[in-house]
Amino acid sequence: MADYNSDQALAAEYALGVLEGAEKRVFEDRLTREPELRDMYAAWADEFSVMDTDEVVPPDHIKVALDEKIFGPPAPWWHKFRLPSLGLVTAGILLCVFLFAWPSYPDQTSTMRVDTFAMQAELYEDDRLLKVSIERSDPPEGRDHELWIIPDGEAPISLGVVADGQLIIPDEINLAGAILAITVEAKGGSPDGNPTSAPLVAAGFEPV
Amino acid sequence: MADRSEIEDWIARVALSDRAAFDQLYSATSAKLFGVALRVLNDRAQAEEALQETYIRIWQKAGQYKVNGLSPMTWLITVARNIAIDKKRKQKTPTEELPETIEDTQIGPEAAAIAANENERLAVCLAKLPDDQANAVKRAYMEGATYAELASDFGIPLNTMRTWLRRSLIALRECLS
Repeated sequence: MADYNSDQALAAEYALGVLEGAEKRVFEDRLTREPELRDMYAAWADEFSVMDTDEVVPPDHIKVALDEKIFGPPAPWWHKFRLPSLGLVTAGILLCVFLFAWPSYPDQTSTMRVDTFAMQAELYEDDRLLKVSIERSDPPEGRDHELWIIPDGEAPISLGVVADGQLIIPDEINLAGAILAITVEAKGGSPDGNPTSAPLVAAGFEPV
Repeated sequence: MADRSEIEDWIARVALSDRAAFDQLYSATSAKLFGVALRVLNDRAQAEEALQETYIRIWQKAGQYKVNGLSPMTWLITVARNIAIDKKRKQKTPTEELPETIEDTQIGPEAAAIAANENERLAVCLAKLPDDQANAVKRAYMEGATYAELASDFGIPLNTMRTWLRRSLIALRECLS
């Protein structure tokens, strides 16, 4: 009985957290080998845990920082932009190609409109031609609006500082599911070819 | 509150590096574990740090959950408590005096917390102990108080404190059984 009491008291002390130093290490070593002791400890820990009644919802930034520590930095912002119904869009494109298969009509258009910026883009898929019409571009003083194309699931590729006109999308850019985005950059465009901020506005293409 | 089998399932999947399960486990249990860290550390910034360390440990050690035979929630609480207590004891400078007011400010809410659990066997059995003894048990658990701190608070030698607390614990076990 004396030994039972002593182990019970030790298990309780360990569960409380008052066991320290060598005694704690010896107890932990015994825990790995003695199932009865383990049961005693587990019973105490369960009993004591009813004292843990307070719940305080932690602020959101904790989880963000935690995820970053465990899983690395979050996916870049352009990963958030996915067209929801790629199948439908593709079907739309095919339909357009069959129904309106002459070159003078664009296959798809993309419209972007916010307070300081408005643009319409027309995509001629066969020619990989993008016609850009700027309605409004009022970047902050000393800055430029830069146009990006973001192939599905990939990093943005610069199409230059926004301007009216036509440009050819290089062959290596996959147009299926691609979206366009506008960022505010330094005068003359982003210095290193990557966007330096989240987009002012972004939009996918709609079949005509 | 998620039930035992849900938490057990999430822990098992976290052991397989399932991030979605980790997110679910976090949303279901972080308020409780943050409560534990805040109570032990009594400092928001440190409690936030402790909470992050807790879930990093859970992410890394989920595979070892079964080893101690604890119920899943108790295991999570134990991880949170141990990290908070380690933090608290590490930062404590040897010269630091325990604040005189600690009993006034800390025991009150704790007593209330225990009272809220009147139905629990532990509360009933703690209530049967003399007040000082019950308070010593609660302070050790709720605040991570050491024997040295308890002895100084109660104004008795450390060995006496320990004999006294162990006697209380055996009495508690007899009541609980």
